[in-house]
Amino acid sequence: MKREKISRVIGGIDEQYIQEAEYAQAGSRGIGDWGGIRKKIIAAAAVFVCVFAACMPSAARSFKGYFQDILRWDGAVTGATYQAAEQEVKIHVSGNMRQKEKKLLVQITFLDPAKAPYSELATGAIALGDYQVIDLSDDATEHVIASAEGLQEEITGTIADAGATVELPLQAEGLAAGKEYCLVIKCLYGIKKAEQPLRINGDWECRFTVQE
Amino acid sequence: MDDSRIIELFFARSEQAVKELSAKYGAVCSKVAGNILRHPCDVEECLNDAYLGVWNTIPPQKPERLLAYVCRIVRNISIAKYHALTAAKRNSQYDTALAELEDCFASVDTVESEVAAKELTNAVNGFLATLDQESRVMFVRRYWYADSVTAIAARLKRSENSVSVRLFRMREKLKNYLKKEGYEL
Repeated sequence: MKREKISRVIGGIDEQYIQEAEYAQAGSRGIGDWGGIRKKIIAAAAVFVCVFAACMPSAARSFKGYFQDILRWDGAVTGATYQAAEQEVKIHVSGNMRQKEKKLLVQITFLDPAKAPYSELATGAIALGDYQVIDLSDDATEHVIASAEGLQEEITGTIADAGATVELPLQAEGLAAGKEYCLVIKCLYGIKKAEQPLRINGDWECRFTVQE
Repeated sequence: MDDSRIIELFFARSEQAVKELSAKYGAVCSKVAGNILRHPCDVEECLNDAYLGVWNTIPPQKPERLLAYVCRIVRNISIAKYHALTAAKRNSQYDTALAELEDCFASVDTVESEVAAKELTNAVNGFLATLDQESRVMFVRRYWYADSVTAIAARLKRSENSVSVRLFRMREKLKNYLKKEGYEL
């Protein structure tokens, strides 16, 4: 292929990757020499946490989420995210889904609605962020059935009574009846009018099956 | 100044918008153009054209990622200028980066139409999504920004050899990925 054409193809690389490549520096998450050291620290911390949690189950349950600044390459704070929210937000899906249905109902509940950032979102909405739908069967050729990253604006629910229900569109005909699947959610977005959506990171897994 | 505030200035048709854009992203844009063009005066001209392009397109456009948006305009203008200036001669940095990729796209000659090019771009984006962040940054810095291996190594605090090897492996992966996507190589 001619170089002009290659240049045109490469020129179409997604803006998120262009932006990422400009802001990413050695030492940022997953990059550079610090990566190896960080991995060791994380591994050591994980061992400590496991031992600590095994000895004190009540302490393990008490881990709370926290705000973290988003830093630009030059150190300027450009926003904030909320980390480790899995203990503070419960996510539940209807245990099974009929093949004729095309959506999965995902129930999101704030366990401590008086606490920030949930208190701030009381009159707002919550949207799904990064997620994957995984086929849990051993014989599956393709384990990831569906996935998306970033703010899913169309999968949004208005918050009421410390929670919201969002509808995740899924082509259920493509899913086999009787099989077990898992919805893995890595982040949500809290949406409040006139403010930048707040990314709420966590790790949630919800299993469901498809019926005929 | 926040990107959103700069965009607001463009919407208000305030010339301050261009000054703020230049102050915030001028250095990055200059680097992007400088990797493609040799002469500082060409780079300067491209930047001015790019700022005019941004001025003419915002509004109605309201880019979500202003940096990527302006860099893309700078890159497109720089490449057009590069082809106009050096039909016979080749610029080392930009051309070397493209030459490395030629093997990956060796026989993909179906990119005559915009649609086919878009499909291939989507495949490349799909490939990038499979990489870890550091590899992706290396790939984009090398082939989109046309950074030298030395510059990437310094940026990511890796040895030049390590960057070269990783880029080589990524090109091999890209070839395999495109094969799996149905492109005959």
